[in-house]
Amino acid sequence: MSDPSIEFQIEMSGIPASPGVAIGRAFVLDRARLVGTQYHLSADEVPRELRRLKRALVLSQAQLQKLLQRLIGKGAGTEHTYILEAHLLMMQDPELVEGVRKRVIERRINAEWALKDFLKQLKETFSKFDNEYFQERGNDIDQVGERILRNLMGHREQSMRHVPARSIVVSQELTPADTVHMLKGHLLGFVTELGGRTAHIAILARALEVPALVGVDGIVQNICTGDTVVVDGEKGVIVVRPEAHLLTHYRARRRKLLKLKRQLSENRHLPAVTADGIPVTLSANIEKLDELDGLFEHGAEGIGLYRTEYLFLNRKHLPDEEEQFLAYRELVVRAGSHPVVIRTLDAGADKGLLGETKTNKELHLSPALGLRGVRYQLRYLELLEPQLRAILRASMHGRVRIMVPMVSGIEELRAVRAAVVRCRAQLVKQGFDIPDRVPLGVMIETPAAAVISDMIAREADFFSIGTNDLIHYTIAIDRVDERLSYLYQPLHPAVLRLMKKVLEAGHSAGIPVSMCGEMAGEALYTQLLLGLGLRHFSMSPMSIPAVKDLLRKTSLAQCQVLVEEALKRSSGYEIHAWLVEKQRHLLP
Amino acid sequence: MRAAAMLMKASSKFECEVTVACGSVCVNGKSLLGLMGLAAGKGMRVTLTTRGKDEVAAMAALEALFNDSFGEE
Repeated sequence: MSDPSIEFQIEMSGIPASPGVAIGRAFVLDRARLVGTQYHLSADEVPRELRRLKRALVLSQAQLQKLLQRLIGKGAGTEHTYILEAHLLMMQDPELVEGVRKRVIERRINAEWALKDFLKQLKETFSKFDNEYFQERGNDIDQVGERILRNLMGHREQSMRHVPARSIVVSQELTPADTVHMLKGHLLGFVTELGGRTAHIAILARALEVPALVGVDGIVQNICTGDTVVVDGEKGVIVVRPEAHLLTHYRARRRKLLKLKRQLSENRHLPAVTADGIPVTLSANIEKLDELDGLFEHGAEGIGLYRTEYLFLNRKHLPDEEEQFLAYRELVVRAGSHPVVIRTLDAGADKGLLGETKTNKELHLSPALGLRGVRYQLRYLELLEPQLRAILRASMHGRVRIMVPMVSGIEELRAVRAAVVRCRAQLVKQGFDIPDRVPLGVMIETPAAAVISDMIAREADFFSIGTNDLIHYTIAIDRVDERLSYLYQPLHPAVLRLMKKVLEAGHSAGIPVSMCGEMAGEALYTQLLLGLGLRHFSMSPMSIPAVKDLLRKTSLAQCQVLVEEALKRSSGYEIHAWLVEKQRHLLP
Repeated sequence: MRAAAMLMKASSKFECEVTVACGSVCVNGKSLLGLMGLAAGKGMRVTLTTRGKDEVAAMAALEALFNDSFGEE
């Protein structure tokens, strides 16, 4: 529990995951400790909350009762059992039950909050007496409270639904299941203790265009819901309860950054060409349809990656063909003449957590190297086929490409191709006028696929390099283990060589190669990627202006020299340091 | 706390209201948390009040508990 006596300013640092500066009130979602989230209820939610409280109390008492029986069964004397008996009595205590109920009803707060508030007040009464007595009784109360809280939270509702607008969310970790209800403009920023730059929350924050910080060790203990916080997503700093002068400083900095961002986006009408006239395509990665609104403001040309996972998250029933079709069609229609790359469901790893059906539970368990991406799809054709049919039907309304994630061997591409052919035949039979050939491409994100990319290129219609996973798998690091984040090096020579190989394989087979990983959206890497032969970058829309700004200032000849020098170096750190130095004059 | 629990259990057997006062603090005798909050130690003076249908019987039972020093030696 956060120590309420900490009222002074605290500054902590983490990994900057999404740029910008946010100033606002913290909303703490504490998972490790049984602190519970605090939120207000609407009038009609009160009866349900009281039932939830009652269930938790009944369950807590039953657990204690069982424990007590077991102790007595073992022949424990009253000197051992009386504490448990006392705990049991406390749980049934009319003061406690009525005190918590009253708070829920009168203040319209959730049961966790009401319980904590009641216990806090109770302990205050005790603290008036001598210390030893208070400490003992305080411990008893804590134990009783913790058990009830644990049982309350076992039935926890979707807590993120209660986050007040314009909050900065602070938690140990935020998963897609937490963030599924988040809409653009609702929240001001995110701070988590776990994760690296490619954690789900980092990607989401960039999509929502709000600052985020990950890997801030111990932040949850140092912050309370309602505290004023400053999040600097550029420098990787969070300031809790900032003093007035610092607040003034950050307000000014925030204004300056926003102005810079506005200036950069003025290039949205300018073509994406290098100084020596090489045209480049800059497209957007999106997850949710509401992101489409801001897309073309940043100058995106099409959608280079539409992640379909969001359609499947937190649901009791999976979306059927019709529902998926409506979503894909809207996407395709709104993209207009621009192409849209739809990636088939990439469930697994940190993107599990679908609803309640059996296959969904299995998803939840899929580790990064396990049953995910195309492996999952081919195992559950009942999931893949409706999705393919929905995409094929959407392809009648615009320029659609299908991309398969997590391919490690040619058979997987062949199997999906066969499924596409099958689905198309069914649809044509039903009278749909599906185009002859909807391009089917491979997301190159396993080292195996990169190494045999020349072979895959003969059967794939396009490639898209997924750098996030490619880097993790090549260097063999777990993407959510923050202790290993130092190993995450996009410029590791092994990664550069693999990317070079994939680009060459694609070019000699005459198929387009794009890059849709986070690396594509960082201006620091733009020249290097251009030099390696990349001409199609897909990224969070907010990153487009900075990348475009850089490529318009650079020439291909320059980039090729840069690549030659980079590939001679044997360490990712060295290449990084050298590249930063080289580009100092180009980056804002 | 042992005494508080015993007092609370004994009080709860009756329908009448039971209040226990110690100094200026007055609590519900059927609430363990209330009794704990009294922090009444051995030898301190407490005032018992019972009010309701079975108040006489309740008072007799509770008095007996006090006179028996809550079963302690």
